[in-house]
Amino acid sequence: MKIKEIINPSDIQDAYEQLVSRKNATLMGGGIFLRLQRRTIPFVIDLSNLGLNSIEITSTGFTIGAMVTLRQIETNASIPDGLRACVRQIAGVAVRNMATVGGSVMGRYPFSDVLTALVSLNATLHFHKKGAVPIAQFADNGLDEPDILLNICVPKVKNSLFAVYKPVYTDFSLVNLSISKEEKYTISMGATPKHATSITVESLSDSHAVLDQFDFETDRRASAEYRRALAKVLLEDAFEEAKVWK
Amino acid sequence: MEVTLIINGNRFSVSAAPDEVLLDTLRKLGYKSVKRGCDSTSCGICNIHVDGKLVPSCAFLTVRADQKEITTLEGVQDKAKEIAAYVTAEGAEQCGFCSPGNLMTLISLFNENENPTMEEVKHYLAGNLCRCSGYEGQHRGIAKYLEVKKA
Ligand SMILES: Cc1cc2nc3c(=O)[nH]c(=O)nc-3n(C[C@H](O)[C@H](O)[C@H](O)COP(=O)(O)OP(=O)(O)OC[C@H]3O[C@@H](n4cnc5c(N)ncnc54)[C@H](O)[C@@H]3O)c2cc1C
Ligand code: FES
Ligand code: FES
Repeated sequence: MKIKEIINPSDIQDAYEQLVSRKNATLMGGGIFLRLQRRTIPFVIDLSNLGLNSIEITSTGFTIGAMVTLRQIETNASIPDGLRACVRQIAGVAVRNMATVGGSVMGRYPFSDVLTALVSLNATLHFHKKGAVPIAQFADNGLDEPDILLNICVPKVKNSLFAVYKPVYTDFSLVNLSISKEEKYTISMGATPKHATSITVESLSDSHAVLDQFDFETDRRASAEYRRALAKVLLEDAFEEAKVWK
Repeated sequence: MEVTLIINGNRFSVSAAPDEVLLDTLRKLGYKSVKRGCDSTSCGICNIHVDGKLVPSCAFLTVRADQKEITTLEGVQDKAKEIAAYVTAEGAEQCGFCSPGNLMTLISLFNENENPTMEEVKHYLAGNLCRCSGYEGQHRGIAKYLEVKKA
């Protein structure tokens, strides 16, 4: 990666104006994935000086700033289990100290563990211009114009879990899933190898029927059959684990 | 861009290009313990501490480190030697290239958690690759170090 120019604004409106007025402006979260790109980025807007790096507990849930690191999520005991667990095997601690939740969402990576957990939790994304966008809608369609993700609201849930198969610890997921329970159960499945989609069910009784609601495909990392077989076992185990939920 | 770095307690004023990473700045200043392995945030060999947080220096932009406290292996020699003695006593290291990154990672862990379980140690070290050892010897050394510390 080459960067020609970088700015570090302390005002969000200023950052937004730079984003829409400068051709090829690129936002930087943790900068980890930007760094891996083999291109020259003419103009970078560093988001680290905008006060977006805190986790707030509200009466309805959690507001997680876009610049909150994956490690902050891992070590915050009040965050729902499903979200905390999804970051545990993303690279090493050092990378998790830099990689942000905002960068993880905005990249819309099909292998994403973070998207899968947030989809099952029915999170809402808050953008500077666009305002609120449901995570599932963003996961499917992305954004139609440049914008800055400010924070992610995660509603309170009674219970949640995350399950994944990685060939080795810290590897990319071959398939991942997340279940959260409030009134009903929302089950999301990701890395299929497409990004997460979800269904809602009244009870966790028939894992095979749930499995049939999701599509799996083949890519260079795994075949559709293999992914389906993994998902079957993960779902069965997850249903078992959720039996003790109140 | 002009940046002030506080490296192992010493202040430096440096001029850094917008895409320069700490790995290169630190090596230029003579901190040669900081090594380039994968250059793609995957091996942990370049790990250092910035404001007390473990980070890969191959991805940390120098301009983002302005006024921050940076710690490299040169700044924690005593602690590093103490831990390394247990690892080398197990014959764990061969080329030793992974060693600075491993030690910076372990020191970060012990700063956060004085008495981790081996499961916690393995979770914390999971991003640090060693192409020679197979990890068993390193883990034996760390387990012994922790036992002695506890005693
Ligand atoms: C070795 C390695 C292994 C990994 N393994 C996994 C894994 O197993 N599972 C997983 O889910 N992830 C994995 N990741 C990805 C990681 O979790 C992060 O998603 C990734 O590093 C991007 O986060 P970042 O903060 O560095 O984003 P950046 O690189 O800064 O940005 C990524 C993209 O998001 C945009 N962006 C960033 N912040 C905002 C914002 N606030 N508003 C609008 N746009 C924004 C940027 O412009 C850019 O396009 C891995 C990464 C590495 C390096
Ligand atoms: S050189 Fe930085 S993580 Fe490998
Ligand atoms: S001893 Fe050679 S890489 Fe670890």
